[in-house]
Amino acid sequence: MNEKLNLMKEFTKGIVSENPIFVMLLGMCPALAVTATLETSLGMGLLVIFVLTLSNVLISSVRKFIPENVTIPAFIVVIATFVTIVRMLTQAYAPALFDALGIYIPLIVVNCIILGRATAFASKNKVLPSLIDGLGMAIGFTLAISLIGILREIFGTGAIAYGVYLPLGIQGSILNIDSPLFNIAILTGPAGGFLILAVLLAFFNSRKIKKAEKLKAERKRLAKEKRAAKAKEVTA
Amino acid sequence: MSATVFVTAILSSMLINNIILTRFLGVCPFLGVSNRIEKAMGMSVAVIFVMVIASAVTYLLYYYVLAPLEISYISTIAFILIIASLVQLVEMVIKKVSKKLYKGLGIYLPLITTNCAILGVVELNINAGFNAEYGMWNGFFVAVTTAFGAGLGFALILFAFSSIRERLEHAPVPESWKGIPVSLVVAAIMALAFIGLGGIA
Amino acid sequence: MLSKLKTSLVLTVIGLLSGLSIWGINELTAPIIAENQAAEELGIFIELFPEGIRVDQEAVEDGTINQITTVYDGDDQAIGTVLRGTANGYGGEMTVLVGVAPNGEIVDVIIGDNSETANIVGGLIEEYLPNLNGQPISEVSYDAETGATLSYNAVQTVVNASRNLVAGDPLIELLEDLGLSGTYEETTLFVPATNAYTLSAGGEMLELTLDSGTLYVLFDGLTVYGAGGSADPLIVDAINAIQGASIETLELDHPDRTQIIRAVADTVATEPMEGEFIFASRPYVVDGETLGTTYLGTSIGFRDDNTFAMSFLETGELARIENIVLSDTPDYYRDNVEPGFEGLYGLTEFSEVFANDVFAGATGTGASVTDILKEAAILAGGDQ
Repeated sequence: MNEKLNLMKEFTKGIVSENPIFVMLLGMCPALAVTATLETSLGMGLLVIFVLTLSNVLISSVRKFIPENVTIPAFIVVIATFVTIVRMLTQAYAPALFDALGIYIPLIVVNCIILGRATAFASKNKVLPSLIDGLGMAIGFTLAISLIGILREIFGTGAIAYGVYLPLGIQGSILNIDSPLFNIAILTGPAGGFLILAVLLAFFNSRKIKKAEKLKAERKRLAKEKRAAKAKEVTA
Repeated sequence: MSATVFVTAILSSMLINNIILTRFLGVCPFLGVSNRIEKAMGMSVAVIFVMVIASAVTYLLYYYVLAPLEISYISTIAFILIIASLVQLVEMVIKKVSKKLYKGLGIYLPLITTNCAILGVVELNINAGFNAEYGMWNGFFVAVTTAFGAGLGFALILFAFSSIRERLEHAPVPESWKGIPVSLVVAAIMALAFIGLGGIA
Repeated sequence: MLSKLKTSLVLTVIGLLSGLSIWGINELTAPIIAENQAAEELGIFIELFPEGIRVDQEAVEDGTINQITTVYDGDDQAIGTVLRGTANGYGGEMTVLVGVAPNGEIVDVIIGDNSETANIVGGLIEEYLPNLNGQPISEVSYDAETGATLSYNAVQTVVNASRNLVAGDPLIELLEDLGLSGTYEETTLFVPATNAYTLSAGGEMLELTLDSGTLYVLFDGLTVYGAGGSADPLIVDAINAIQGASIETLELDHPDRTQIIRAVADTVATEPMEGEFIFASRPYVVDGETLGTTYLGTSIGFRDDNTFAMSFLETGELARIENIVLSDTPDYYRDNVEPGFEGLYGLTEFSEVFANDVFAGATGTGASVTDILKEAAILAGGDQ
């Protein structure tokens, strides 16, 4: 029971408390570069889920055989292998996504999240927790960049298109809002990436600050009550 | 082969297609290191250094080894290994040659292996197909020049940004926007300014 | 020692496994990727000829056209040809695709990779390229107004080169019609007209743009051999009627007569020179009377070489500046450079004008005029 709870914790920490983008600030390049639309963000997310989960599993299962002085090169080779595989699969089965993501597919190799999880977690833990950790982190990454992608696409174009980059079999778009507020072209460009990420980070920061203030106030109140109780005792 | 090709290559990779502001390569060091001008410059010199050498080596590797053997699909692995060993090599050489330089650059070098700017520029150079456009050797020099320009562009933005950030630290920024968020807003404004440079092309 | 051996063994195994799995995936995906790329290549051709299912590509080296693609339908019948070429526009090389139906009609002209100004290309695509659709490629004509953009010039270059490959070169045909065999070569020495050519059979050919169309005049010295082109048949016939005689005997009550005679006479009288910018000179003749000397010069402007003719009176006064070849933006030249010429006529000294740079501003186009005018003025004995 306890173990199950732990695994659940390993999974959710990547999504919430240790979210790679919004909390750890890792993997910023793809979070800015491929998030002009929801579909490209989701596509990149799927590739990262594939690479991160498999590299975590493989590294964790061979962690005892890899000599300490060559861990990093060995990890890089493992990660690069999975990236190459995923690159070829994308080029074959989702050519539109391959063209849209361009050099950012090979750049998954140097995504700090993946090497980071390999050294910080997979090389020290058993296979199952490593799998859960990789999956959680990758899903957290995917959700985060998809959020950026949704905001950029809605405010930039007023609609969410589907079937353009992912091979869904159908094509179209939803929402289709016709309003100048939802047609801010710069949001689909480079500046929009920086801007939306800034707004989201500030939003999460403000929530963190509020939470911390609440906690502080709560603690203060408790301490005050304790003191009052003590004082009462003394007088009694 | 006129000199304008090289001037254009430098200007376009430095300003018009600036790797940080238009391609988001090297954003991590941009946000992480750049709060002190001195640090930013140390990082930039190391990046330019490795970027130029890595571009030269990978260009030759790709067109003289991988492409003739028809194994260009392993290019990503090959490139990242080349970059990793290059960084090691450069670190050793600098350590031997100049203790002072090593003190200055040494701490940044290990960070560079996973700096996506290097692998990014290398991949971009290969994708650009300079060998087809300018011929094998002219293409080589254009690739190296482009890498140098990209490195200069990286340095320029890091320098400009660290100068702005020194002032930002004394600016009354709302609590939740302090640090990274406000830096990203500055980056967004800089990126907007760089859109204007696109008109030069 | 043992640990080193272990290290290298582990690394080798990792490398082997990595290589093996990548090789395996590549074997699996390579044919699909190749198929995707073929489909993508077919894409643009299908856009031109929707019934096509197969294409046959052939690389050509024509200077302009680099690929000819034949599109076949389900019955393996050729249903069209697509010629792909590149030419220099305003922002650099520009790729243009010309689709031609088997009956020689232009189906569509598509602009591919380019670095032109987006608005200009958008305007071309919306307004001017559709006018080419449906025209027979052998007699394609362009909207004169849009000749004012370099992007449109590049489109014309590629369409003309396509025409020469598909329908044969109209200039060669013209030569054959007139009983001359051989080829022609563009010449830059005598450029008083739109274009000038030296013929391998001897003599020269001028291409003049008249209001009624394009006129080609073939001549050797002042003797004319014939004419052709899309210009007013009245003119063409009149010139052909005096074959073997001097152009000055051309009797024709037509507003273009003076221009034709002057162009031929100018070409014949032009003498090569070797200055820094000035490359030729000829007598400055107005109404049959020689008033002075015209100097022809070329200097690099904003984009490329511009050629101007500077006419000076015998007294050394500037009488006329005429543009012959313009590589810079025509609209800019017409609106900002040309109007300034009026103020220069009658002057012999230009140092003051150049110091203020009145018509040139800080632009390359203006600077090329300054270069040529400076040297011409010295040759004319005025400005030192």
